[in-house]
Parts: sequence; C-alpha cells; structure tokens
Amino acid sequence: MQNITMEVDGHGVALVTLDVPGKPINVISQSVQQDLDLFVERLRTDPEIRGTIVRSGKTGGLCAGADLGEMLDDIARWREAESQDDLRAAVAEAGGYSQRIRAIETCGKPVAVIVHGQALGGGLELALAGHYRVAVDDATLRLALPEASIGLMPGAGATQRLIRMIGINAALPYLLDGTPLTLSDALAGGVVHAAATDGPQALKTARQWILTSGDPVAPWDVKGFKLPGGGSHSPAAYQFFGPAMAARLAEADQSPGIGNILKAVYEGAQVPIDAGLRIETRYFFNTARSPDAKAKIDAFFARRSTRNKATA
Amino acid sequence: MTNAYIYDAVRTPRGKGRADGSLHEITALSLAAQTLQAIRDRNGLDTVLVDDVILGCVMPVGEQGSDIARIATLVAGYDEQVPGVQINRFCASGLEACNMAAAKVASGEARFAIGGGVESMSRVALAADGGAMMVDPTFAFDHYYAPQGIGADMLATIYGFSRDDVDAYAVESQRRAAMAWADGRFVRSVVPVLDQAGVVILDHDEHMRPQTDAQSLGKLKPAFAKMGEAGYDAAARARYPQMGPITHVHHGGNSSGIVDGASAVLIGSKDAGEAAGLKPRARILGTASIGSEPTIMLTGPEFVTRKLLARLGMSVSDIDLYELNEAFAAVVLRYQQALEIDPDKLNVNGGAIAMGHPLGATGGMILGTALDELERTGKESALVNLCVGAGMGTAMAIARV
Ligand SMILES: CC(C)(COP(=O)(O)OP(=O)(O)OC[C@H]1O[C@@H](n2cnc3c(N)ncnc32)[C@H](O)[C@@H]1OP(=O)(O)O)[C@@H](O)C(=O)NCCC(=O)NCCS
Repeated sequence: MQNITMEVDGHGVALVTLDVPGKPINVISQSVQQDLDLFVERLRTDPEIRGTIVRSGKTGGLCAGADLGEMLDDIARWREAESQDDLRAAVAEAGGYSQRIRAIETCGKPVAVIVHGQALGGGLELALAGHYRVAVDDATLRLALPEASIGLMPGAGATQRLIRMIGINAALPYLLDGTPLTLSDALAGGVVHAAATDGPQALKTARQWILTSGDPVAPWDVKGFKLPGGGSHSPAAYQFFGPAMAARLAEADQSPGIGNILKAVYEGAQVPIDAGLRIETRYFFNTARSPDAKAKIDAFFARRSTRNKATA
Repeated sequence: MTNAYIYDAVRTPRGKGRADGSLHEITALSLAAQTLQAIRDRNGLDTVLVDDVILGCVMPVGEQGSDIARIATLVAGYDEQVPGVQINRFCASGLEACNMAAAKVASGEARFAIGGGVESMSRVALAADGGAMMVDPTFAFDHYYAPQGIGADMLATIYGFSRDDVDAYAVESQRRAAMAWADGRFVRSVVPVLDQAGVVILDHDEHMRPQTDAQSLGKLKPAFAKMGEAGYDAAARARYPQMGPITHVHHGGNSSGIVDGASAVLIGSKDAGEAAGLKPRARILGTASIGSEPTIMLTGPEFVTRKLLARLGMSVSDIDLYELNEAFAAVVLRYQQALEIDPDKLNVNGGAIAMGHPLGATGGMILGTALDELERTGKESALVNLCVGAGMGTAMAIARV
C-alpha cells in the first residue's frame, strides 16, 4: 500500500494512517481507492485486529476530497458512455469510492476516524463511514461538502448518511450550499461523537471507544431504524422540504448538482441505505455528465489555475 | 355513439369542514350513500340498470380509501351487480366522474351510469393523500411546483386584479348565493343529510356569510404570503421572471371554503330512460379536459373552454350560462377577462367562495346548479368547468331537452 500504513498494537487496535505521497494534503485517487480495498480486506480477515482507527498523516487535515484531475478524466470518459453495457460500467466506476466506503462501514469491526483540519467532500464522506468520529478542536477544522459549488454533488454517501444522522431538513444546507458544519452542530447531531484538544488526545479517545464500547454497526443498519425528523412524506417534509426546494429555484447561478442532490435525498430517504447509496451514485453520475456541470467544473479549474499561477 | 342525457342531479348541503361543522360527525361513506339513495328513490330507479357508479374523491385515504364508490353503492342498497370506481382529477373529480359516466353511456357500455363525488374535508384533511407533486424534486424542483394559493396570487399579479377586485368578486358571490337560497333555487338538488338515527342534521349550506361586505373582507390578512416567503414566491418568480413581486390578495374570504359534501348525477341513454320511464333533463353536448402551465396552475378553465367550444363548433356567446368553480376569486376574474364573458352569465347563483368546495364532490354539484338554473330560466345551454391541480381544466357542456 503506497498511501496507507497500518500498525496493530498489542490490544488488536489497528492504527491506519492515510498519507498520500507527493501531495500537500490527502486526496482520493485511484491509487488510494486500491489501498482502501486492501485495507478493508485485511480488516475483515485478520483475526488479530479488533478494531481500527483511521487518521491522516498530513498536518493540513484528514482529506480534501476527490483527486480532481483524475476525476475530470473519469467524467470525460463517463460522458462517452451510451450503450447499456458502457453505461452500466461507467456507473459502477462512478460508485466505486462510495462502495469502498460502504465496505469499511460493514466490515464487521469498529472503525473510529480522527478528523483534523480539512475534511472536505469525499474526505468528509470517508469520515462519515466510520462508526465513531473524534474531531480535533482547533481553528483549522473545516467540515464541508463543497461539491455543488463546483457543479457536482456528493457522491460517496453524504446525501444518505447525513440525512440519516441529522434528518433531511437539517442536512440540506450542508449538502446544497456547502455550509461548513461547526463542531458544536456536528457534536449535537452525532456527526462527530467527541472533540479532542489535539492529535494524541484524539487517538486516546478513539482507542478507548474501540476497547470499551466499539459498536461496529451503523445506526441505519439496525433493524427498525427511523430517519430523524421524518421521511420524504412526513408532515415535516411537506412543511419544510417542499418550500426549501422551491426557495433554491431562485438562485440565479444554479448548480446542476442542486436538483440531483434533492432527488438523491428524497428518494434515498425512502429506501434502505444500500439502495440509497446506489441512487446517490446514479444522480452523481448524471450530474457529472451534464453539460452544465462541465461548464462549472471548467470554470472552477480555470479559476484555480490562475490562482495557483498567481501564488507560484 | 349514442347521446348521453342527464336524468337527475342531487347534492348534499355543504357543512363547514371543521370539527364544529354539522357534517363532521357523518362519515364520507354515509354522505356518498345518501346521495346515491336519493337518486334511486327520487326516480324509482331499478338499480340493476346502473352499469357503473363513478365517484370523484381527491383524498382517497383513510375512510375515503379503498374505492369508496363501490362501498357506498353497496351501503346505499344498490343491487350488488352495480360496480363502483373512485377517480381523482383533483378539484374536477366530480365533473370528471360525470364525463366518464357520459362516455360510458355514449360508447354503449352503460345504460345508466352515475357520476358525482364525495369529500369530507373535516374528516380527511386537504393534502392527506400526500403525493409526488409537492415533494418529489423530479417534479417539484424540475417543474417549479408552487401550491394553488400561490398560483391564485400569481394570476392576480400577472393579470392585474387588485385586492379590491378579488374582494368585490367575493362579496358578489356571497350576495348571489344568499339570493339563490332565498329564492329557493337549490331546492330541487339539495337533499338534506340524515344522521345515524335518520334525523335531518343539515339542510342548508352552512359556510355562507351573507353579511360579507368589502369592509369586513378588507380586514382579512392574505392567506398565502407566509407560504410565499417560505420559498414558493421564489419558485414562481423563477418560472415567471417578468412577473415582478407577487401581490398576495387571496384569503379565507375570497377563496373556496373548506366544506363537507357529496353529489350524484344520473346519466343515461335515451333508450335506457324510456325503458325506465324517465324524462331526460339535459343532453350532454360534449366534455373535455386539458393541461396548461402547472406552476401558475389555475389557467386551465380558459383553455378547456376554448377546446370544448371549438370541438362543438360553438363560440363563447353561444352558451347561455357558465359555471366555473370559484376555487379562488382571481380564477373566475381571469376566466371572465380571457373569454370576455358577461358577468351576468357566470356563476349567477354564487359559488364555492360563498358555499364551499368539497373537492371531489364539487363538479357534480355545480353541474346540478347549472341544470336547475337552465330549467328555472328556460335558457338553453350551459358550460360547467373547474380549474384543476397541476394546471388542468375539465369541462362539460349541456343543453336542455
Ligand atoms: C384560504 C384558506 C387557506 C383560508 O383558510 P382559513 O384561514 O382556515 O379560513 P377561515 O374560513 O378560517 O377564514 C379565515 C378568517 O377569515 C374570516 N372570514 C372568512 N370569510 C369571511 C367573510 N366572508 N367575511 C368576513 N370574514 C371572513 C374568518 O372568520 C377567519 O377569521 P378568524 O381567523 O378571525 O376566525 C382556505 O380557505 C383555503 O385553503 N381555501 C382553498 C381550498 C383549496 O385549496 N381547495 C383546493 C383547490 S381550489
């Protein structure tokens, strides 16, 4: 594994460090995804391992999300898909990261994630797939899903897990507007379970959770799970979801992700998590392929490269 | 195709659609069954001749669920061979049921068919059936959904009806309804509702406020401003960028009242009528439905009227009497404006603003109102229509025989 190191201590707690070589901050590349496969396989099959703590080796944060360069190539390929076979293959590829995250969530062993600094987009989604999250409480902490602002949408579970944690209405600003989650809101909603003052304390807290309570089952995998705040056809949905959706129509510079995020939320809230994740992947795929998304993503890259040149 | 004729039309009086309304303690099933019994008993009808009972119901859940038309037919004591089907075209369900009954007669499927509807809004609340329209983004977001109250205020904004205009229309609706009741114009259609012991519990429309004047209405606050602020004004303006800010002019006093009631209309062929010894009261000239832009939602009546008149080779002035459901005052004002209908030919006995709009039942009720009025005045033809959710319109044209 190039991007992940794993050490198992005497109590069977595997400490997993994500540190993508040659990058200032972790991003999810193909290579990271391959490592995740190996990591999950080991986690599942190694009888010595009792549970795991995932953290980042970078000072800047846990993970900044997708490797956008790679993703642009992926999207270009997905756009070409037309035949049923090509479409099926492309959708499977678009859902690859989401499925890997789901494999972590269902590996059968407790997974704690230490979040520090930036946890953005796919990086935050990685954290959401753990069973327990400890955040390092300092000024650099930033939990956000900025996908819609660059013409995309969260594609690795955020639309499904966030609504299952805090409810549809509370989740909308994070999903649609990229509003950062404050630590206090995250703690109140169970998006983060504990705060720590620094890395070592976070490690201690995470380890203690694994050794004491460490439940390896996500709440939505427990029979009888109910969406907090009610489902897509609850009175609350009629009272708040409908108007919230209508209000978004007024935004002049509409991201193609907005409608698709709403659809993933509305439809995903009515089915079990695995079906919800498949639905999210399909809308993520549609978003990525839409001509509007291409224009937005191109504009984003143009902005970024001029900024990089300016700072270089 | 054979002609379809209307042999009779009945309705219950409309009870206030609230817990303190007179019909709140009467089930929707009972309301529907009582109108079906009235149709049978008034006409000495052998019910085995009825080949279908079609009832509109817009909230077919809870006690109005599981095909209330068939259940009401059995409860009314009709022959068990008589089937029943509940249909939903939102606010026009009761008229659509009559259109379908007419089509069954015209095609030869039915000798007699009954159309009509039922809605106990006090027992099964508006929106109780949910649906994709309001919350599934594939419709609501992609197609700019806004509730009908917003649509009504959009109509007023776009077509220039002020708060005074819509209030004046409401005052007139109340005046006409009060005059019509005082003059006994509803006597032929209204069958009092009996309670569980067979005692009359309601024999008049109790939503009416004959004292209404511009001043009393002027005090009411707009009902849909909050809903607009919550997001729907934004959706409306995104769909109609040229519209400018929406003026919210509708309120409880110039919108259709929330009430309980049922209606039933006996439709049949000439042969069936002759065999049963019944005299037809009107011939059905034609029926139509149409869709129009769904965000503003309430423009269907103009378009369905044009569609039906064109098919009949008639012009607006060929029709003596128009009934358009008073869903909201601006709906009627827009209709009158678009088709240049003389106000003295339109809703001459008031409408749902004064008497209420029991969703699924209303179409059958106003069809009966038009029929009674043709007979009272000796006029020839009437066109009855309603605006319908998601931009539709449904109409029927009749002529006295
Ligand atoms: C507009 C609407 C929301 C108003 O509902 P509401 O507030 O429950 O209506 P109310 O009958 O209680 O009337 C509101 C107020 O206006 C007053 N009011 C109503 N009609 C009045 C009149 N003619 N004169 C004086 N006051 C009147 C009522 O007394 C009440 O005042 P209060 O709040 O002080 O008691 C409701 O009538 C509606 O939704 N109508 C449309 C139904 C519908 O959508 N149908 C399907 C599609 S057409």
